[in-house]
Amino acid sequence: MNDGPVSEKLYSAGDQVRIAQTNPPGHRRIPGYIRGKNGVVERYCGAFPNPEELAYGFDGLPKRHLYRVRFRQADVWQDYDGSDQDTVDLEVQEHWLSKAD
Amino acid sequence: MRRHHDMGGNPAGPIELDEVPTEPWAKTLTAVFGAVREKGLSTVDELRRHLEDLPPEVYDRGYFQRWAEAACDHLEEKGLLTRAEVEARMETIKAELEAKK
Amino acid sequence: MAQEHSHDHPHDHDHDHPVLKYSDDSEHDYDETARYPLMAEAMRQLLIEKGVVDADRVRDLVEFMDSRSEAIGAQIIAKAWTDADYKKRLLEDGTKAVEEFDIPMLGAELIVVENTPDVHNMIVCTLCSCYPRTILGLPPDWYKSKSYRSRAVIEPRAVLKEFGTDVAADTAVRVHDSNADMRYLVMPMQPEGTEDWSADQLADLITRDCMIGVTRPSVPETVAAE
Repeated sequence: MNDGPVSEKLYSAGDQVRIAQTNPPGHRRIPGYIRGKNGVVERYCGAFPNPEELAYGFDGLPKRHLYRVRFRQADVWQDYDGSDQDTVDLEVQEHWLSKAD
Repeated sequence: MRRHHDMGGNPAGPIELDEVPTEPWAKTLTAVFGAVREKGLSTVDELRRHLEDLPPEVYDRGYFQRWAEAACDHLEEKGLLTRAEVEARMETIKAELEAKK
Repeated sequence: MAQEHSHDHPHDHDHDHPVLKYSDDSEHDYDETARYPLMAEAMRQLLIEKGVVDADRVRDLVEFMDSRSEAIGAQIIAKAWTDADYKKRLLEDGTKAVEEFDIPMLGAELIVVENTPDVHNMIVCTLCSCYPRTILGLPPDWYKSKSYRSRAVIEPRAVLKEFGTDVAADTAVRVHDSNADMRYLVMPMQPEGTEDWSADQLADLITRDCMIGVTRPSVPETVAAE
């Protein structure tokens, strides 16, 4: 059995991406505050078993591509009180991402 | 709707900087769960799901406290022990400890 | 007396260990008949009796946990400060670079983020309390608190101030929400005036909080005055 990801990764460092604005029930590792926000891929982290499946006792395979995405704090929070350069980084599984232009 | 554990960005009070050393029971709990994981009988993702499913008032009892409750639910779901067994054994141990005093 | 009780269940307490293996530990000042100490011990006993886990393995894992502390992280950072090649390896592939110190990441991967005059990094896990435990030990209470988990992402500068850390307006604050398979360690800036210090001397300056990114290392005044 192939433990690897099902397909080639879709994104690379520097790509503009959007996190899905969705609220499915169940175990998810994407915090609410970042859903629906736009950011930039900071790096590709590799492929990892899907936590959304692992949480229910499945093997999490095929693995999912994981990226670190960097968001400008000013894009995440209304009235963010800090510098325009301030950022927050999170890890996001590929199925939560789409291209943003 | 965001769930209780998904708290990034919520209003909250000042950071409480006092630290208490980790109590031995909490280390035991962590080690027991680590041993279960090593046997391939569990994943941290499954434990997280149970943590997230706890009622907020139980979740808020403390870090290792919620771990204990979630681990108990998780081990019961896995068929490795039952909550009734755990509660009964707690009574036995308590009686033993009180007899020692 | 621990051994005078009788009980119906078929297990026999290991006579090398009291009912609670920590019940003779005079250091603790909590009530071991409270709900959670009892629950932890009950689960431990039941899982051992059922053959799910091994008593020795549980003991070994507690020992391993006790062997982990900020001293390990400090050693890694001090090495990086004094060895440019190691620093490069550590920033490129943290997981591999800490293996040189025989530090396992237990399935997660390590990303080391470097503080510079332009960037200040800080780590949080808003969803639970993910933390590089094999490098820093167990996380402090505040790291697991609702206040830190809630506020570190939305008002990091205010949170940093509560730790006594002021970050200049023209320095970017970079928060890392440790929400999946990576764990994070902050490489602080080496304090000025310590350029000729040994790695061991430097390690004493590098605290856990510096490596979470809520404080900066500083040279104690008594040392600086020498």
